Amino acid sequence: MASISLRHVSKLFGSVRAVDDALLDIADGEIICFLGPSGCGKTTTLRMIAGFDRPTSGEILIGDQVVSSAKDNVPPERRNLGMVFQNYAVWPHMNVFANVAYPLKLRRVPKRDLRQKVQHTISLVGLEGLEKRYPEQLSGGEQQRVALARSLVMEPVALLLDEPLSNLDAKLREKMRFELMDLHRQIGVTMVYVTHDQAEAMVLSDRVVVMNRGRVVQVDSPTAIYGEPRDPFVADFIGLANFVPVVLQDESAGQGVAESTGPARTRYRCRVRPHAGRVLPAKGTLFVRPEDVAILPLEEGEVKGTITRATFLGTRLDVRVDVDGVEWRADASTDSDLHEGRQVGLSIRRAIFFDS
Amino acid sequence: MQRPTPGSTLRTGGFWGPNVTARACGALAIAVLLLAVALPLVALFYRSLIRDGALSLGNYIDVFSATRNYQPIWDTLVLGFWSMIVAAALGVPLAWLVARTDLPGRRFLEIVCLLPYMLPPLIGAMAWTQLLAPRAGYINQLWMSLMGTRTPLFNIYSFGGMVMVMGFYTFPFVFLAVRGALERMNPSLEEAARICGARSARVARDITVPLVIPSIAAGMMLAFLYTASNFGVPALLGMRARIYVLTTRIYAYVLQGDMAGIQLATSLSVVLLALAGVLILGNRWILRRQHGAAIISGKSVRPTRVELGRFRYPLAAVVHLFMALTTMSPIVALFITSFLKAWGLPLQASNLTLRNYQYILFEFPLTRTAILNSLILAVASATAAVLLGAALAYIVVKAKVRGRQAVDALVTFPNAIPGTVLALAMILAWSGRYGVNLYNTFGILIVAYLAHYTFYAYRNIAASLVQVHPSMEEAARISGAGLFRTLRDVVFPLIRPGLTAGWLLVFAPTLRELTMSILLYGPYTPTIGVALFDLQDAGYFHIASALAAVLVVVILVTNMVMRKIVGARTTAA
Repeated sequence: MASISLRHVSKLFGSVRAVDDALLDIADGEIICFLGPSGCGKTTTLRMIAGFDRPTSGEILIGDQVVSSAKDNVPPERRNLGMVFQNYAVWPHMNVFANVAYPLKLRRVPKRDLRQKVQHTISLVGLEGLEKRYPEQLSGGEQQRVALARSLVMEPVALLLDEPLSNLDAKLREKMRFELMDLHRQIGVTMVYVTHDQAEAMVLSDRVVVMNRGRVVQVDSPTAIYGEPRDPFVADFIGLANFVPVVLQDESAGQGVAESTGPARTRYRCRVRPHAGRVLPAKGTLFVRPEDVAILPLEEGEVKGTITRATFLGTRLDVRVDVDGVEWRADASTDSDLHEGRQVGLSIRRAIFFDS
Repeated sequence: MQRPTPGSTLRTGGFWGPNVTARACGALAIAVLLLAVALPLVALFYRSLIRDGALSLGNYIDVFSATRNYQPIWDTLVLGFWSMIVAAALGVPLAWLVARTDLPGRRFLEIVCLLPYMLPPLIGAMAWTQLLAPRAGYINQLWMSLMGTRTPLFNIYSFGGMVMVMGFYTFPFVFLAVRGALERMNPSLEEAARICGARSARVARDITVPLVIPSIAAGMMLAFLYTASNFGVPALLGMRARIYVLTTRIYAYVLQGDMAGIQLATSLSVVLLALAGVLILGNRWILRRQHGAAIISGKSVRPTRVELGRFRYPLAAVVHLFMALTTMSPIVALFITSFLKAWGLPLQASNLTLRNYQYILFEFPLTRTAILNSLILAVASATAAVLLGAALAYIVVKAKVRGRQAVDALVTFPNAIPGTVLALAMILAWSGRYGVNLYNTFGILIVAYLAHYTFYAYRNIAASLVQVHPSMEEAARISGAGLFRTLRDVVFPLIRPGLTAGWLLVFAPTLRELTMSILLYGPYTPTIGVALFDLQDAGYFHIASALAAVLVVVILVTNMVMRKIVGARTTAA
């Protein structure tokens, strides 16, 4: 097993910067998720790690060996990686056993060892008894497991997964997430995972790499990505968020006061990141998660508003409140008596200011 | 007030409801199909089992007890086999080069590869004759004068000549099948093998080739079927060398004109039909199995192209030169001959003339009648085929009546039945025995063309209809349009490209049809195909070439129009 490093990796397709100066160290045994909207460069990054695409500039290291650079490219077949493709890529002309055994066959593993290893891996992913089946006789989830077994059987230095769960239905997807985690706990292989599903990234990863338009925007633990997004893109892409146009009036030691641009000029206390060259008052956006907005009786809140809509969502109530001309979204418990037209007070637990 | 009818199918509404006209149209279409296809084929089977007014296997015993009857079966198999091999030897590498490498001029190659697909093999046989006729063929002449010898390089009037021409004309079947498979194949299947540790040669051996083999086999079977069904090539090249295949033997027996001839021709036709059936069922079986192994495709990743490196340009030169020689040179030879005062004259300004064109277009009664006849027949058949095909496609795709699989089969399979067999079946069914005599009229030709070619219109229209979501029609119905109003205002505009393409797809092959026409034409109904065959067979190469040249231009123009309409989709004509 090994660490993986990306050093200023860029990839151009024609004049399009698919990946722009990616810098990242993946620790041995870590699960890393590349998360971002389609076209953000996450799959291209994965394909460069695999060796299918060659970086235009920069280097990729597996362990301490440079495997990709503008000059040199170790071909995929010599990188000793496992990879699970979005469409599984299980070979339709080989049965389950043959699919899983293929990497070992290429490595000329003796017959008895091969049988034993293949059997072991097949039972690891829970496919015992299906060895003789052909892919067309398997469900999507089973094909997925074949692909997984095939990528693990030769004990790869790292496992690459390209949106492996996106073709499964919602229930199965959730089940597989936890199975992948269990699997990781058992074998501890470094995993690099590409997804556009934030829930998947949150559940699985040690660290999430958020990408947008070819750039790595933030690399952090799931909690930090959710709670401390670095910019409005990350804040908006992950979870739900309120964005309120404000002007920052005052700041000191990471805390500040922002004033809404609405007629009532409501003032909010918020967290402020240090930012060179910021001149007060500074225009920007206030970011607040719906669950950080508490709905209180009119007289108790720091901010006043009128409920415009309250929607029952099963476990929670999705409440829209008009505050100073801006529609806020708040999360309330279902037992609260909230209805359209009621005036309420809001208390904001946590807000972050982003410069515009 | 009109009662609202839910849905939009023929089955809805009471029997005496507003759909009674629609039902009548559907019933009429199915009746036409039964009369044009089912009845003649039943007549053919039945007659092959009748001897002196009683059921008997005598006809088949006759077939298998005389060399001149069973030799053609063997020769058909051998000819089909070798053409299929040539087709694979050409089609597989070309498909790989076009689909998977960075060979320069791939797009151009693709078009050149489809050229033989568009032109009838009869024209190919004519053109190759001009290049390789033993004494006067252009290539043989060149060879003999260069080498100072009197032995020609190659005699086209031979089994080898037939294999060569059929191979050149059937390789697109393999080419298209393999190219399609290579392009559709999910690139991650190969990438998965690489990440598992396989080098590219190993990936080809373990993954690519096994996955493409079914397509190769399916394409080869089509090549075999096409060769076994062909009449023009063995007739022009084989009969002169006394080599008979099934189609030419059947033709000879029908020409014999007596009862014994018809009986033997009928039994041989059933044999040929059985062969065609085996091939087409084999083809479908392979394709279905391959479909069963279909791979869930995710996002489309660009196909990985092999970089040919330093072989790129030399290989391109070889391939392009070869394709030019095999597909372009015969056509060029044809055009050159069409401008010569007589075939075999040296190519110099004083021997060139436009007289041949003037002759075939304005003076010679045979060609003038043939051109006019073929135009009338092609327009009539194409129009009838579109009407019939549209009605049947609607029944199968939209109305979903019970037994639609049978309807589908009755339109689809006759396209794979050798024309010779179909023509004989038409003679047996429609020359007065059952009360209607269409023999020697346009009628029997149109029925035969319809049976054979309605499939093209049907397939295109059905494909367009599938695209029209039921909600489109339902929206029109809920807005207050009746069935026919809905068809006119919503369905028709949406499937118009399919209708036009379907019309052209029937028009092009009927215009140049030979195999069925040669058995069905009468004194007043010669067609272009018949005229071409007669002129070439009688040695009037320069006149035949002029007629062929006109035909080639018309076919290519039709194809260009068709491509404009159906987009890049590859179509058979």
